[in-house]
Amino acid sequence: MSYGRARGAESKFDSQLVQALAAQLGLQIHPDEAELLTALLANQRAAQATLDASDLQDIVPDTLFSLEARDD
Amino acid sequence: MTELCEHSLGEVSDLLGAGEISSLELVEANLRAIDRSEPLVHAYAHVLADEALAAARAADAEMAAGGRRSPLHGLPIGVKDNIYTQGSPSECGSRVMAGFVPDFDASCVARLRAGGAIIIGKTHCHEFAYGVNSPPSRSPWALDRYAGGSSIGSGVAVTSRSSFGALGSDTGGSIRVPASINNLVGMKATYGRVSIHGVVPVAWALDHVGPMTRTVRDNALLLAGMAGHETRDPTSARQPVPDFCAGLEAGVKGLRIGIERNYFFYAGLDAEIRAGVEAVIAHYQKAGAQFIEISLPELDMTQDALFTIVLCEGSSWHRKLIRQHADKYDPATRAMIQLGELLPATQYIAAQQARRVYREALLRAFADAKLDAMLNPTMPVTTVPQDQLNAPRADGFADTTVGSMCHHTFNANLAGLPAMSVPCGITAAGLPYGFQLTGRAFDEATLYRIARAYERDHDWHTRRAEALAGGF
Repeated sequence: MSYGRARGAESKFDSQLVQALAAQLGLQIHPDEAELLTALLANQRAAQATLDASDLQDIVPDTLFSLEARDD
Repeated sequence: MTELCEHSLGEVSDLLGAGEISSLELVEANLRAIDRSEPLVHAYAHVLADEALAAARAADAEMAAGGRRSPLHGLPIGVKDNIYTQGSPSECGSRVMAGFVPDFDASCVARLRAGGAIIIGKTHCHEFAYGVNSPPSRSPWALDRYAGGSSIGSGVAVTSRSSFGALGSDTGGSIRVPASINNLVGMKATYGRVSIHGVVPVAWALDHVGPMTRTVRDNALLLAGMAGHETRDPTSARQPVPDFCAGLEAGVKGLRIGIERNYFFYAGLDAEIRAGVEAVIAHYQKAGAQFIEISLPELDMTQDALFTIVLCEGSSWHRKLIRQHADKYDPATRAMIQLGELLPATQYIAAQQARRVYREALLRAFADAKLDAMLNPTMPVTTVPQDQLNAPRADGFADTTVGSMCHHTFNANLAGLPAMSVPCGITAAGLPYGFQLTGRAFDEATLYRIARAYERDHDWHTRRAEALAGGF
């Protein structure tokens, strides 16, 4: 599948800050990709907002194990 | 005599079992089809001609001595390039993995080989089954359009008749989407049914491996050959593998099928696909199935939850490689992997919480309405030219085509329930589409039964792309 989707979310992030954070993590951000990464990060903030709209706070998160194991 | 490649996997299995053809003839027929079609469709990253011919001769000798290991013995199969094949390149469509040759088979490949299947080649995939770059593969149904991914080469190989069946992997729709676009049957079985050991992960919590074929029976045969418990895989289930073909002809009378309309039949659903899937529902009703309308508002969380899990788990697997070989990644893949590292752990956990909420809501819907399956379109749109994938949809609906393509498929990966795409129409523009069945955990047999009841009364699966008639 192709995961590259665009929400058209307006970036509220500063691409220089994103580059600085990435550098702290040891990631090499190509200069002309910083804007894309910043826009994608803004998309993910929108995703978080969608999830926050649901009442998930007291839900124990799911695990990696199989349905069979989880149903035991 | 009909060219052997025109027969389905099940048909050539029967012919082989009856001694009417040889495995060598099948492999040679596939290799001829590859010679004819590959310059145009580019399904294969690596064709394993010498290995396949040698394996076919060995299979013929073994079968001549009276030993047929399984219905797949002697049958050539394509394998997606992110699935390990011992002694053969497994490059995941990436320069990062260029030249990589694993020294063991993925569990599913080992099972197929143990049953006598022959690997004819490794099929193209998006980079690490993840990237937004597109391999060169083109579907004969629409040579100028995107052929679906990430199991793009597997879909193209089967629809081009250069493979009788192929393995794909599916983290958010990567088997079902190319199956729908290429007029094929594609199954993502229950999480844990087919081991993911030896498959380069996209996201462990969501990854599945499964078969792509021309017919329902082909698919059932291939799934049976690759399923089963793997002790080296903590996600692998201990469930016994049934004979998926045993109940294929049982029909749908008395079965209960759920329909959720707010999400799956939303305003973004293409009108031709809507009409086609409504006709499928009408057919099943006439055949005695009962349809029950259900509500699942939790579906609205599924895209954000899945995408977040993919980003975070994917970045975890690539953590070392992205630092050592950043320049070898396609820029779009690199951006997604780097993005995953910039997300807070709390967002990943929220996504896993949402996953649990959705899975439990779906299981509850199945239990409360006593459902045998759910039915909806596999994709809300048909495919478009490559350069329009990320553009706004031409019909004015507020989304990109690529954003819409997986709108209907993500949820089954989150839930871990089996889901399959079945061909059910071709648009006026000549583009195939399918419907999706989702079933109870480890009940793939019922999905095959329902799918076969439709296939038996229709001929979509026998339709051939016009490009095939033009010379290959």
